[in-house]
Amino acid sequence: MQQSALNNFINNTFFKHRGVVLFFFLIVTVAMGYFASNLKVDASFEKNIPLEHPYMETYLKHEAEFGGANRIMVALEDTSGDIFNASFFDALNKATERVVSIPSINQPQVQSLFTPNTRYIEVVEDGLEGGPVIPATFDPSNQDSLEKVRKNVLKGGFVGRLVANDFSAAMVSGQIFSVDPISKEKTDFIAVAKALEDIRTDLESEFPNVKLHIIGFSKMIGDISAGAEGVFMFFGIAFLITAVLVYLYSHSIQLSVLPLLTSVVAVVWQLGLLTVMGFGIDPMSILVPFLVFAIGVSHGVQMINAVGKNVAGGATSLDASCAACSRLFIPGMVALLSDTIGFLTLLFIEIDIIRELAITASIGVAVIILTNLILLPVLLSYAKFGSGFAEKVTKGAQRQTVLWHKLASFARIRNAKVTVAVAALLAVVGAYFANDMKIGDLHAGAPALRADSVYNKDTAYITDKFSIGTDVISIMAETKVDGCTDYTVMKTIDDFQWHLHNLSGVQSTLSITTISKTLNSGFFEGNLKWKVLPRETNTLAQSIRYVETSAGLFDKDCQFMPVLVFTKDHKAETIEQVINAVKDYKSNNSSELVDFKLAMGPVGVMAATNEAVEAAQYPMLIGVYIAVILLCLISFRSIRSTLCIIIPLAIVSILAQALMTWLEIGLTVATLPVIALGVGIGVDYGIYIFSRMLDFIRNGESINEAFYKTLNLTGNAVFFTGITLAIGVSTWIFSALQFQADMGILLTFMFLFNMLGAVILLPALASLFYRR
Amino acid sequence: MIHSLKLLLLLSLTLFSMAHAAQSIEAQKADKSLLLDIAKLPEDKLVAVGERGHVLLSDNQGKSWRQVITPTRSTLTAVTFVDDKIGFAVGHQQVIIKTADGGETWELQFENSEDIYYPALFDVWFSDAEKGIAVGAYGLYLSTNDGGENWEFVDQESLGDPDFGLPHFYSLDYDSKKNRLYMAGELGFLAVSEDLGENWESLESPYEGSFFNVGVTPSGSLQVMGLRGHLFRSADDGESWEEIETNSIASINNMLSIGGSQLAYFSVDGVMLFSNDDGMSVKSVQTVDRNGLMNGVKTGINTLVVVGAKGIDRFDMSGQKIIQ
Repeated sequence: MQQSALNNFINNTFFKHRGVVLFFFLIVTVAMGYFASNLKVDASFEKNIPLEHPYMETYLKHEAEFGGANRIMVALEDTSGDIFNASFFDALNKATERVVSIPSINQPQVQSLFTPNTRYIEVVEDGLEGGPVIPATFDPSNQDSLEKVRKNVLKGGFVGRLVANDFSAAMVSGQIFSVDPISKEKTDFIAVAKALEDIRTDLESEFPNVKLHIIGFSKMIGDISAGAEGVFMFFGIAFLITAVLVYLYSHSIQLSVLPLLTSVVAVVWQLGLLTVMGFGIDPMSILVPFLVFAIGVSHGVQMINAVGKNVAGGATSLDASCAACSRLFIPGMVALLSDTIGFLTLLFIEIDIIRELAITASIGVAVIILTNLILLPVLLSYAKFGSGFAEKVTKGAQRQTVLWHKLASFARIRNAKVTVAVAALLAVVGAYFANDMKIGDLHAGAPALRADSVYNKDTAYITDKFSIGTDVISIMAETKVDGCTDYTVMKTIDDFQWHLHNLSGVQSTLSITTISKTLNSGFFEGNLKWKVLPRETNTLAQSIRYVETSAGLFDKDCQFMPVLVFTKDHKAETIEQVINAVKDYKSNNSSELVDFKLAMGPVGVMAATNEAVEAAQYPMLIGVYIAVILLCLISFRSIRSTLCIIIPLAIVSILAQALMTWLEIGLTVATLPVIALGVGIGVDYGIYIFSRMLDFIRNGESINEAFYKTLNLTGNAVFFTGITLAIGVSTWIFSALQFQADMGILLTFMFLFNMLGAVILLPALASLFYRR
Repeated sequence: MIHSLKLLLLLSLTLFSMAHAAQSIEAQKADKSLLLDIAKLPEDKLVAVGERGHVLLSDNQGKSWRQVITPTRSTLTAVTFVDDKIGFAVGHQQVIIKTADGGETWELQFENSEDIYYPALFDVWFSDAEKGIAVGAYGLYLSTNDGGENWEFVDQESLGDPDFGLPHFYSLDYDSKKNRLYMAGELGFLAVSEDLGENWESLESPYEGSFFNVGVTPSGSLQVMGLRGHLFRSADDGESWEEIETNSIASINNMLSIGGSQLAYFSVDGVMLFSNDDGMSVKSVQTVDRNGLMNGVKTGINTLVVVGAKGIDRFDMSGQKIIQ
């Protein structure tokens, strides 16, 4: 479409009937506001995992029977260092009762020293003898009674499981149902987390000698949700800073309020549409409204910049707005479409939470096309500018001329060569470091939360004091019915387990065969020389009879038996080592009887997630680059122009990966989208600058001159856009949630450096490519 | 006649199983696996044996270990050396392996098919390089007169209880000064042979629970130990017994002379007992990890190298774990 034709079209469609247009936006905004008010927080576990990944098929198949990922642990520490006192046992008893009454808890499975399922078995002369660890006659004020419990704890082998290795703490553990078995309702993890936090508060105030440490998926979700609430404060701060900046930039309250208003409208629409489409908001996608707001303001600034310049040039508000709208419609549209497409490439990733992020962000950006390319100029056409306005704009522009001259010198051929050489060097060095970027979470504890968060400190405490690993990957041995009574089956599992046990990243392993060997030794008076797998069906059956299915080591048909592998951490290379060992073992030791299926347990989920993220990385990058390249080619119809825009973008992408290596940020569900977002949004600067510059170049002006003129027209807006976007996301760096902080750092980096790339490297490249 | 038929059957089974025998697998953490016995060769070379046919050697007093491959994956329960070269190890599935080079290489002497259950061997003893005995579960008793080339079943029915049958034979020890060979086992079983195992005679037992070990101290006292921390000492070759208070209910697996009249005992649940008076009194020590301890040897002047449920650990003479 020719510029004049577009001009007419826009004028006729939007500006002839301004009232109708505004009324339409008002109605829709009210409706969307209504929907948005019903937005729900949706923190489901399954959204975070790649459900289509083969490992997750195993996970979902056995989840109901083996659970495991949804365990909670409440450790009570006696600050004196010894739990054997009356007050501590009182606290432990109370804690046990409180845990049993948590909503959605699997009551019979709750275990502590006080629960009836905590029994000891000991070898005596005429066989085995056993009883509850805390007998009915227990009297905590009696030292002998406490001593008897201490002995029973040792006999039952509960040290390290229910009692800390150094007897300074005791544990209450339980399983939380994902779906309440009675009400059939989805479990409210946040309510569970709150119940747990209440136990902590109440017991710590009642018993000054007791300190609680609580971990488990439900608690983690609770803490993440609590951390996500901080987002509203960040939003407020970002909003205020942006408002001040827009005012300083525009010298006009009207010009400041309107882009902020239309950007908020975009956020309202986005949240409303989200609810209409049946999505909730979760701790990860809660950041998207920020982004939409920041993108909205940055595009709005381009608009008020153009309108302001037109008004300063003597046009009426209506003419100035209409002209600015026509002028910016195509580049704005291209830029926003490339954002949208950048987001949509995230659909390549088979993890629901990322797909939701992709959809919500795409909706948000698509909405900005309406609010900031149409609504904003229409609103601006009503604006009234004081007599001093034109003067202010002109003065401001004059002040900046010096800077623009300096910047424009990058487009001189000699400087351009140096600039391009430096950029190339940066790209090479960056690529070298980017190569070391790791997949997955690189740090201990719950990666979503800060290393120094209460949750991660509690995790560190519990893994330190108890012999319980929270980093578990379990591999499901699938065999025939009653497989656990077949020696060959058990031997196959045992050999497999031993193979994994020998890996350097593995701390310990556990399966039904471990228990079977220990119990067999138990049947022969605890003699370790009998600690072998029984060979005969009836002895095998006997050796397992004492194990409850609730131990989670086999199902009721004895057909599925998980091998639990406790890893020393959940770094990607540790996970990979286990996964590769399992795959190698399977190909070298094929068994018709037993199939070892990857993978369950928290680390199993991480393994699948890492693989999904790794597999999606390149398709996503290729997708997003193809999209922006095509959009540039279409809008500029020039390969040279496209290269000028894409090369700085690519270098910044490489540098971002190098930054991830340097800051030890792994490529995860949270940081992978950032790459697509960074490219999609980062291209905007280049498009806005180049669309102006190309006009001057085509008019036969030198690159230096063309760039200088472009900067005069839009340089302000580009700088401003970069800063607005960066501020919008940089507040996340202070989030209580580690992944939000990581996203904040990376996006801030990409927004700022893409802006610098557009004002420094782009003109340098242009002067090389367009040499005459 | 019946005897030679049995032997023929055995031989054919042996040949059959040799074809099926699988070698042990080298494993990174073999020194952390279940290890059941340890022997010290002259010049302080150590040999530890355990599950999955694991045999580990140490040339530096137990500071580091190297695994050698053996021709079996059965759990090895005991090891003995005749001199610095020739040694034997026995284990589950009646496996017997022999080394002629100080434990570096092993050859299979006796093993039954993997597919069928055979009772386990729990101890092995040789009077010289030719003549030896291996004992095990349900009264299993094998003997050889040709350095293990041929092993013969010996029925020890006379030692059993008519109602109960034969007990598990857990331990052999020889009093060389008095030429008395002792055997101990399940349910208070005790027997003695004065002709290197040709003929056996039951001894009156001081305890109805199982004995896991019988041992003769350098000063000539006889000691039996086992279930739930029970320890008995006899100063008159098993005629009369005195029960020693151990203050421990952890079953005792083995005894080791650590110089003069000092003794160390190794028990399950990581308990060690120490005596300074030839076992007339003992002091119990709980080691840190609580891992079951099977047997140990002394190296240098003050180090115990001990094997057990979680592999090899080193302790000082007071039971403190030595961390490298």
